[in-house]
Amino acid sequence: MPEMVKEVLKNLFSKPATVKYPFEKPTPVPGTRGALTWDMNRCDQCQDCERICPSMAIRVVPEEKRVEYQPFKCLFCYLCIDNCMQQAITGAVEMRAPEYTKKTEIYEAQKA
Amino acid sequence: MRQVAAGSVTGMSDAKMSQSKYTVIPFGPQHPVLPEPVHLRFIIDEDKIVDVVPNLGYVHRGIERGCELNDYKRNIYLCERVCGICNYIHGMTYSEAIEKITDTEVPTRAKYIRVAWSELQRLQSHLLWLGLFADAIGFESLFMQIWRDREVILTLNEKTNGHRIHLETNMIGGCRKDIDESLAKAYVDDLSIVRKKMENLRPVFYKDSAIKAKCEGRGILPKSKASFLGAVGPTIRGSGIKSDARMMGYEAYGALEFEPITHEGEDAYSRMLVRYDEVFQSLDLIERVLKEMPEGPVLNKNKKFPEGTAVARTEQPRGELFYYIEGNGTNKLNRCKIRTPTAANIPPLVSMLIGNDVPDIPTIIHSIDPCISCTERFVQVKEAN
Amino acid sequence: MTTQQFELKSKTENIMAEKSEMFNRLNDLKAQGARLITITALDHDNEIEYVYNFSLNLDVINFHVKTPRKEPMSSITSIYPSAFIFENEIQDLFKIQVSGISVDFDGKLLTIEGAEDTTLVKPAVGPAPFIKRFYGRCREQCPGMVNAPKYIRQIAEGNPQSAYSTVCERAPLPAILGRVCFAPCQEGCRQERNDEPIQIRLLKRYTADSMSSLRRKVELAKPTGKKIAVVGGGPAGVSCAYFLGSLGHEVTLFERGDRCGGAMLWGIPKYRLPKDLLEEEIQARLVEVGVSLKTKKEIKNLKTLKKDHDAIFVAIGALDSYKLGVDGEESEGVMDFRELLSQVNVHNKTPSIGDRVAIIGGGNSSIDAARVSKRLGASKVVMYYRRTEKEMPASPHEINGALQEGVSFEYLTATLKIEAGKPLKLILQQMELGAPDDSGRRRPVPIKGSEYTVEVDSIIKAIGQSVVIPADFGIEVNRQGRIVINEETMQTNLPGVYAGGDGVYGPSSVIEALRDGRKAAHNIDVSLGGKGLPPPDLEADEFVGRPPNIEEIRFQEMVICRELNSEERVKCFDEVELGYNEDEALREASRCWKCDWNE
Repeated sequence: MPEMVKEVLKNLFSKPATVKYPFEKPTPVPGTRGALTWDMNRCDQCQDCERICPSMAIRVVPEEKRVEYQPFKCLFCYLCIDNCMQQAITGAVEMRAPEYTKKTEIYEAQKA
Repeated sequence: MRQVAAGSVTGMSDAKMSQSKYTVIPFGPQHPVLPEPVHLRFIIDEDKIVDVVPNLGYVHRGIERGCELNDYKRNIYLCERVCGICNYIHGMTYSEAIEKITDTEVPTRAKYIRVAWSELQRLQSHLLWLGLFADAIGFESLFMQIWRDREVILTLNEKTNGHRIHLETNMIGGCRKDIDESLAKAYVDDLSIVRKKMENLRPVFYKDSAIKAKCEGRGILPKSKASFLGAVGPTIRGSGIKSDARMMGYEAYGALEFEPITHEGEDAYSRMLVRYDEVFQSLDLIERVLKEMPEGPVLNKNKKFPEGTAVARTEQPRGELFYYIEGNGTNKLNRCKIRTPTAANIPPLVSMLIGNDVPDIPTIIHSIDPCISCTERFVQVKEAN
Repeated sequence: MTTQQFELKSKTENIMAEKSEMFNRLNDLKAQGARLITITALDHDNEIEYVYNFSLNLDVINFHVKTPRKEPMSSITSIYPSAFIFENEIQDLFKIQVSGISVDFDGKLLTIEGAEDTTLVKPAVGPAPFIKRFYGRCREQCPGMVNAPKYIRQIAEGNPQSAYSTVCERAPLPAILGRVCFAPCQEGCRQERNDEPIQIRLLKRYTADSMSSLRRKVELAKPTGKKIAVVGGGPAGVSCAYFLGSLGHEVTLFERGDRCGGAMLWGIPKYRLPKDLLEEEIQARLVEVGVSLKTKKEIKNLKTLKKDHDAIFVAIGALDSYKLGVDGEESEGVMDFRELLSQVNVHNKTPSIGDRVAIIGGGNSSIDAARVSKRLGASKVVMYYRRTEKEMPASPHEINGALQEGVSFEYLTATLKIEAGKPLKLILQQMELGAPDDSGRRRPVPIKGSEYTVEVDSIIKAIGQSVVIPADFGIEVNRQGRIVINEETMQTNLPGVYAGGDGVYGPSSVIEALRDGRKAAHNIDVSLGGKGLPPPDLEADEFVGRPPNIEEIRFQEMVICRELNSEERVKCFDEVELGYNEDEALREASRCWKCDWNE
């Protein structure tokens, strides 16, 4: 197996293939599906995102103009973003950081 | 020494089992050499296997019941999580079954793109298996090298839709995303690197004496019994029978003519060679698809609720995947039955193991490429005392 | 690249077989070389249907066998030994017996040793997914719950005739509503935020315009033999008569004037609602269900009616007007708006009102009076309103139309006195907004010393209508003179007598009167032993899908309706809005976001 020996010698002199997270962060590819945020100025509580979410991570309370989002149930499939008619949800490129407890994020519209 | 129930696989009676020369060793679900949590009980007689009692169910998750509660569009995302390695194909088979029930016509370009992504998953799965097999044999550096080359494919997945493993681009009636010019160029460039690296390993797999000594002649599945026992995938193709679900011509496979790869060895070595050769077949198929794709839309949504029954079969990296769906005219399904290839490969595995030595157990279990998370949505085979 | 290449080479075949011949057929299949894929079972309560899936060459064969639940099924492991996994699983999932399995775990397959219950055979617990269909905000805002999303969809599919029938199911006058309704649905539309709501009212008008004849074929229920009298030919009366007639009753409609229409006839000017269209649509509804119409008959006493009929519906409307309460109100040249509008709209006269006209009031009827005055030749028309523009009850569409025609508005102005003579002198006082009253609105308070006089040729009072009921009816009325009813059943204090419309709620809108008519028809039918009318439907198995690319409908521009030129239109009473043609209606209807989607 002379090819494998060549490969082993090449690996000896090149830099490691491992990315030493968290000291080095990997470069995100554009189009990565990362964390979600709601813009309550645009949201009109139509509950489309709640009905379409495969893992039931969104709960909308229309009377109180509130959206409750559970990021630890979310799959980051981005179906909610694709189907929101008012374009009220934006997705970032970075993933969420790990946390100690599972929490729910609450977004409320400002009471005029 | 434990009593084994009267229902053992080879049919040996209770009295014979309780003779003191038989030992029972449990193997799994956690074992350093196993890739998946499969639990087998071996009844051995001084280093030779006499009987095997499979005991699945460690990672049961209740997916089929979950499919009945959700509405049929969310089920794509649930069915994709049956298996992590071959997730795209599960979603695609489910979509195909629903498309048959609702009489939806998939656009031609979507069919080609689905073939490209299925072959990408197959490529990634075979590279993963080759690495794990090398690790089980003891060839650590080959394992590390193959997995480093697999990273190229995971980055391609990320460029396609943003996640490394779960491609989530299935929709009923087509694809959620399109492959544009820059992405097609990225595919062609990156996959040529993979091809070059795998081509370098050809002498390792075909000629290396250590690998041959470890797996030649182990785990024989004779040609006459293979189809009868219900084996699928590379397990049966390693015994010389041309049986591949892609021959049915689903999606765009009908337009891309190719022959399934077989080897005549009937043992673990020829199964490994089948998978190695399939890597190159997948690379060829992806290139041909990217050249021959026509223009057009990629999504044509369904126009009614699923009602009736339908069956869909596709070829996973491990064999033939089977979905049986029954709908009742509303947006919930009555029944969604999934039969994965590993569930069909368990009886051949049992017959392969009997008569072999104990040190060959990891090799033989690996050679059917078990994916136990696929199998155990509900089956739990447990002995009764 | 032909389509033939993309056809699946494998076919699926379903075979139903009896249990007795099962083993023969399976042996045949094995001889042909079929491979067992899997075994499923379907639970039909009393019997179990076993489905054996085989693969033969490239085809799939589904083998169905039905057995009653009590009889055990024989295992096929003698033919296909690999079936033991699937048969054990079926035994436990469905709690049935399969006898003779080569490796039998005796029903203890899916039970963990030592546990009582597993999650495998129990139904999955947890919160059920939120799968619910909504009405759509436009429909929720409509007092009559007209199925707006459905008829917009039907227009977008190119079928406006069935859209007309969809509207008639809840509000039987689409051609009229499409011209005069104040359209709360448009304020509920979700695209209102971007100031581009779907023009639901104009689409409703298009469904009527597209019918070659407004008379349709309506299926009537079997005749019941009950007789019902409807007093009043306004929208509430016509709606009640239409629904009761479609339920099979014999209905007689009594109308005081010589034509039906009520407030729609005298109150709404011809440039908003042509009178022959009004007559055509009401006649179409009454003829479709066989209602006998008796015009020029005023009912003064309900007792004789009660003898001949099983139930009565009173819909006489608001027949009186409020008074200003100032000196000089009875002078010559001071007109009530009802007088002016009746003369112009009903009797087609053109009274001379001079050159300078003052209108007191701020509702839709005042604006109608102002625009009619413009068409009668007045060059200076001013409207005086007690509060500010924000609190004016007139719809913005009408205010806009009036401004375009040259009507001017004066806010925070109250009338003090009217001095007779030629010209009339109108003494006004400026107001300002003071402290809020009980309802929270700021009351206008007069500014001392700010009186001023305006000389006009006519003054038109348009401050509101009041209800007056003949005393001989014997119906209980409240402090304001309006009929008192039970809101649920629409019944008055007299048994068998129901009421609705303006007479109960004061001056409201056409759609509210139509709703009252339908509600009363439902209650009358139920009290006479019938089934009544269906509630607003929201079927779970109606499939409504959104287009594949949502970008196409996300932010499209509204299609603006063409109108007559503002200088030309004050010279005549032609209809101002020209409505949609086919292309415009299709574009506007395709813009809808389908808030009641169900896919």
